[in-house]
Amino acid sequence: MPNFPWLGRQDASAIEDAALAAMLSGPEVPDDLAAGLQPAADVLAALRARPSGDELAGEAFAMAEFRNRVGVPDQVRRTRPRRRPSLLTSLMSAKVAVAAAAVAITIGGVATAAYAGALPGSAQRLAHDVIGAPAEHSVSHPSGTGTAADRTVIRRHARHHHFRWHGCWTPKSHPRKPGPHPSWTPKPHPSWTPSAHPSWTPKPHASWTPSPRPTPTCTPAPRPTRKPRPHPTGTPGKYRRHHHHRYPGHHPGPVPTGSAAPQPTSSPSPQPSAQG
Amino acid sequence: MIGEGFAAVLAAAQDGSEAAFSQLWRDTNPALLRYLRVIAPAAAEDIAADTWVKTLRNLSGFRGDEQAWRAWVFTISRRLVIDERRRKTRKPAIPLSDVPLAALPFSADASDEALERISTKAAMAMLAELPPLQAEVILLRVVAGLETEAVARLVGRSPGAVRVAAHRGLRRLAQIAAEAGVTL
Repeated sequence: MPNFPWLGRQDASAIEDAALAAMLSGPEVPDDLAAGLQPAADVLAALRARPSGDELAGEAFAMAEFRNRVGVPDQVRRTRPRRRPSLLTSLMSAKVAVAAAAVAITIGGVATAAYAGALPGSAQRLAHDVIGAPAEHSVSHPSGTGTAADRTVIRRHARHHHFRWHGCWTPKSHPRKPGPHPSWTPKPHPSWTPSAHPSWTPKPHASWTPSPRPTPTCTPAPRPTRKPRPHPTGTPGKYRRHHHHRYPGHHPGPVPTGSAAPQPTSSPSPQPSAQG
Repeated sequence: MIGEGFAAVLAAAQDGSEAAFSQLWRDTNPALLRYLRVIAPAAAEDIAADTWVKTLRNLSGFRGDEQAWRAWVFTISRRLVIDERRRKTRKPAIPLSDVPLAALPFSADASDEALERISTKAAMAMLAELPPLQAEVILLRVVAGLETEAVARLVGRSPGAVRVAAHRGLRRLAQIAAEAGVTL
């Protein structure tokens, strides 16, 4: 049916807008309602009527959908209430995450500083022992700045590394003196000359066994190769461990199989290389 | 309208209470169906069901009072109506407003005729004779219980335009009811 808005405009003078607004706002019909608006008020009252049966017919579908998406039966709710993550839990999780991140950053920074050699002496030594960071002496100032204890530690590490890589002690290493240990006797070495130490007299010890000891002097030699050299007698590995590795300056020739090392005498070593 | 206890009912429904959601549904669905039976009579029940599906999908995230709740539900429903109309563009149907009032499917039972004449269906049939905007504005103001500003946001018009449309619709509705001789 077509709408004729001018019909409404003809009645506009007779109808108060306030009455219309009141009709729309609530079910109460204004007392001063014009007679022409009474049918409309009745229509609006019918629209506000209580719901009929067919308007509530879809409740079962809605409740099933609610169970599927949101809800749980009330009986289940009583026995096992649905729990939301509390604010405290969220905050604790956040704190744990922040703490873990801080620890990770700290460890990373310390490791970086250790490899850069920026840690203090003791910490650098610890890092050297634990994670293989560079030793303290390798990153220390070559000018010798530092305390005497630091320099001592540096020298010790230097000797240690020199011995590990060259098989002998550094030339400036401290010569061992016969003293506190009763069974210690200086070990002869081909390159060692007694005249260098006039006050020392080598004495053979009865219980002395040829134990490999570092020599007070060192001849720079290349690091022993990994591949064992063929040896006619004996075990190359054993030979290298007892003689060649400890005295890399020597050129081991044929050595009696399994024979003891040369006795500590003042005479030169019977090894061929020493004679040469 | 639920009134004062709406916040508690909504919170319980969001927490999974079936009883609370049933209360929400029983309060909202009749108004929704009355609105849809005028705006989209051919698919009112289907659109109402889809409206609740979409409402439940986002129920946990809803925040607001009862006015906001109703505005939200009716906004969802109105958008579904628009989608339905777009789908039906290739299948034109005779709008309810073009059907004469006498041809509306009133109750054939003589004993129920008197009751039917004063029923909500008769009122909706008369309302359907109004232009769509006027009918929709009156429905949203009267059935859904929304304020003028909320209706204006929902239909995308200014509050003044909504007020004018509602007043014109009421005047026209009074004329239709008087011409039909219906005493509601």
